[in-house]
Amino acid sequence: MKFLADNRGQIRVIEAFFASVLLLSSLMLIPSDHRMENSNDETLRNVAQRTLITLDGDGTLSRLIENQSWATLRKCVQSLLPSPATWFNLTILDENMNPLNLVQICSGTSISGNMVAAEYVCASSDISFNVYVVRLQLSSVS
Amino acid sequence: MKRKSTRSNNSGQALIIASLVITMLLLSTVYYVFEINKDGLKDEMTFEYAFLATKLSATNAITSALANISNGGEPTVLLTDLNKLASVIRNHYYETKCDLSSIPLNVTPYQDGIRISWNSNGSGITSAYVDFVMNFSELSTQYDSEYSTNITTTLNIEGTSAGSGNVKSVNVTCRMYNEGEPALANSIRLFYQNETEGSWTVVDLSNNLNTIDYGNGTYFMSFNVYAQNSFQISARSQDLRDIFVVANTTCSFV
Repeated sequence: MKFLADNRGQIRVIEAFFASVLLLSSLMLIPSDHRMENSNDETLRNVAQRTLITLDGDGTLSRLIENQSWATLRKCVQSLLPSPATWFNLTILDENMNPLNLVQICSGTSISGNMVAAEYVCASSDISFNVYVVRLQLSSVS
Repeated sequence: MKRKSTRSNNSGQALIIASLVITMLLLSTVYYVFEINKDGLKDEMTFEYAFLATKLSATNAITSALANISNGGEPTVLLTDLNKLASVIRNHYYETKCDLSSIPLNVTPYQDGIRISWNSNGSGITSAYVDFVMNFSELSTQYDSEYSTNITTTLNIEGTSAGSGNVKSVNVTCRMYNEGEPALANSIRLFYQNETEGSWTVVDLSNNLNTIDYGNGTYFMSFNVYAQNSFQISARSQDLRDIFVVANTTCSFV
């Protein structure tokens, strides 16, 4: 009889333990700041990739690089970004990864958040064939 | 009697615990599936971007090579340029390993992926055709894709002449196409040939050349020449991608 009464107590303890485990595990389903940051980074990375693809869709990107029209390139990137509150920095590298733009192609606003980058191998469609690596860095300006 | 009552209480508690355990199992399974799907979606987007970017670059490389070859470059330029691009892509992608293999078409009328048909039947074709095999891989996933890219510039020419004596009034219509769709020309120069195997003479302002650009890839040109009733005309043109094409035809007398 005494043993059974003790058992009842143990079961209560086990029950409480499982309940607390259940509560703790449910906390994992609540999105944390870290996950939200990851999600923002992914969104920014997608924006950067989409911007580069769109820019080169009609050969504009390679043409502007060939002509070294950095100011026009900056305006083109700016116009393709969904929000003006997005900082960007565009770097043009040759096939040996040497930077080609001596002038910075960026939005000029200081940044405080995380920065993401997307890279794109850009082939020129001109008669003189060249390959460039274009790196677009984005960050949300808070 | 008391012993029986305790057992029934315990049975209820065991049921509650069992239900808790099952709930936890279900929740953890749902969470696991959610995380796996999220990772899969991320991989898919990475591959999709790499595929689109590589395809776009390869198309630009073919366009560049075709412009080069049609303007007098070596046919080997096509494979050289594509190999150069594949090398940069292979050394560049950090998130994925990417291999791009190019196979220029070698089936008539293509040779080493290039077709240049500048005949006298009123149509000139400058074209390139390349098959690609792309392979993207990460630590756990792999993505293969095979596709073909065809870049074709076509120029069609039709001409009629009228008039008595040696002075003929000539009307010529040229139509430019890129991949079968009407496209603008960068420049069109007309030539005529009075005798078979004779030299070609350029048509210029001295022939009262008048050009109408319809803005949809169709160009109408009229001019005057000293010629026989039947003579050859030739249009030599570059499209906006600098791909050169020649179309010849016999100008019919009406």
